[in-house]
Amino acid sequence: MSSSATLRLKRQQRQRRTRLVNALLALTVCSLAVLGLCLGVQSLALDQVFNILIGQSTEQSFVVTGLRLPRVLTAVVAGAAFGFAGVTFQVLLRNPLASPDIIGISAGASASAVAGILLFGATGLALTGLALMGGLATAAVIFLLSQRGGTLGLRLILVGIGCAALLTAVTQWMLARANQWDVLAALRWLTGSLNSAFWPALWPLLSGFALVAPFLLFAARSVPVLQLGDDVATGLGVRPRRLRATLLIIAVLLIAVATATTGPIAFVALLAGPIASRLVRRESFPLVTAGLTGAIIVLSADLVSQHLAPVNYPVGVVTGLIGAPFLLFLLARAHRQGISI
Amino acid sequence: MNVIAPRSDSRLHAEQVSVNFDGHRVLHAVDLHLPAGEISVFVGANGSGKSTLFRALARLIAPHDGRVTLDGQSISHLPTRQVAQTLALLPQNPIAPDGIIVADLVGRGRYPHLGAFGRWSHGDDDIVKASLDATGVADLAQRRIEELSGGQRQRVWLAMTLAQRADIVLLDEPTTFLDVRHQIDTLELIAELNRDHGTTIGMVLHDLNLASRYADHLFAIAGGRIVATGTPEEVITPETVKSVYDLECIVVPDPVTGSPLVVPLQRQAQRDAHTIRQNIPPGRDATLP
Repeated sequence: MSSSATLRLKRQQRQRRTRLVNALLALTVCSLAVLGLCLGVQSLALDQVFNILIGQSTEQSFVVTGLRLPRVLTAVVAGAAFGFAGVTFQVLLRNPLASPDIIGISAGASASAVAGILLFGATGLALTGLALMGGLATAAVIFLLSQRGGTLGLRLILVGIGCAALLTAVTQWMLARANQWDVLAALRWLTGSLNSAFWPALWPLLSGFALVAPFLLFAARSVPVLQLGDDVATGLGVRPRRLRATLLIIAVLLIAVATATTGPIAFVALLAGPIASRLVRRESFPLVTAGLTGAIIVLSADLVSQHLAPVNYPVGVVTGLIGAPFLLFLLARAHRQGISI
Repeated sequence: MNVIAPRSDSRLHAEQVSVNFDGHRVLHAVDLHLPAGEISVFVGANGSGKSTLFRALARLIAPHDGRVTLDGQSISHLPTRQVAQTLALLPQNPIAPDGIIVADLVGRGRYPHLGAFGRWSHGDDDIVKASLDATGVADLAQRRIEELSGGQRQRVWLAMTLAQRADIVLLDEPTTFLDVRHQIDTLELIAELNRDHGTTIGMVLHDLNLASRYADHLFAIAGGRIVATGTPEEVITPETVKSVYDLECIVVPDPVTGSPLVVPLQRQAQRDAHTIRQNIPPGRDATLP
């Protein structure tokens, strides 16, 4: 039954399915983004928004291009960055719990940002920079602590969870000692919010993503080989340690720059990968699908929190409400049948 | 016995290769030329350094001293993808990702031949198909790896190695965890690959008798050194077996192939080797210690 034409057919069917799923997800991202531009205190019709975007109309143009567009763009790019980073960690460490928001990288960015808010009153770019450095420094510490023994994996996850707990405690300690007014600002940031998504704060995220994501997409083609283990991968012409380090550094940069801009939007990095791998079952590294999934999660959670919730909750509250049960589900399943994304 | 006359047609060489583990030297300045177009087998006791030698040849570990060369160039300085087009390897107990289907796994053997963006051509499908056919797993192409038996899995991994279309194939104990029938199947397959395509084979085997039956050339390793090398007839002698494995044995011709067959002596009998001599059926030519 298996002539080489059959093999080709099956392979092309799989590729088509992946492309179809990605196209549908991209379409969903676009629709949600347009919805985000239209809806608001003063909702606009589709053609009004379109005319504003192409510069034909100036009525309400500040609301659309000055307020809603940066918010929507932040949601899309930060969501994609969370999705990319999450699925990269999960696949390379062979564990769905290994997403950067579980293993302490987000906690590191948060602790550093909260310190900035409380101690120096940092806002805007300075806050972004602090969170970025905190995330990178935490990642470096976690990798160094889990290096002994040479293998990445469970050890890194455990060290990461330990670091996350420590950094969360530090954050709590700082909050407990600070004055009330600052605490509100810090808490808002900590929940993960798009309320401060204006153009000036958006540039680091946009440029960082544009600079780094292409490398990840290019390196992704070698990941299926890496999944066969270091020895087989070496035999097939990959340098496993170098490749893994490159991919993880890119993922850390993405998560840090996204967290720095929006705050740690809970569970998006954790959710995107497993959802994506259920949508395209045969893909061993569903990078693009996970990025699109991340963007959809953040966009739709923001729409829900702005327009459906009684109060304008930060977006992280909504993702947290979806994400926490999912984390429990993953833990229960991992316990029952071993771990795989 | 550490120096072997260089062979002009050999492509993979170890030159004075030494390897340390935890400050302990496990391989001592080994020189080796893997004979081209032949099946070479590394034998030795557990901890003799045979797997370490294999891993050094396969560039899985870097020697502390000396170097491994492919076509005269240091293998660690060559682009690793370029090496992979010539040299394929199958490590012990490779792991397959969950849920992967056979055709996909075998297809990954094409990786070193794909372009920078991993574009797949019709020729690659043909090679995957040919590899599935050669190993007799074409019917399993769309099945998941975890549904297969141990013997079938090993065939699939061999198919992946074949799909790499390399002139030299290194295998680390390809028969472990297989029952005797699947051991023979696997080795027959490897012998076929050597016969039909002239592929140079280097493998580690635990079973001396299988090694002796399938090898053109044996390297016996003990204490991190090559202590004997040559055809199975030259290497498999009671003296070498004694020095490599610390085991008393007699060596008789394999009734099927005529290759040397090691028959270990029992502890009791080791003290009294000549009783055995009297028990050997008449007409069998046995060499006793």
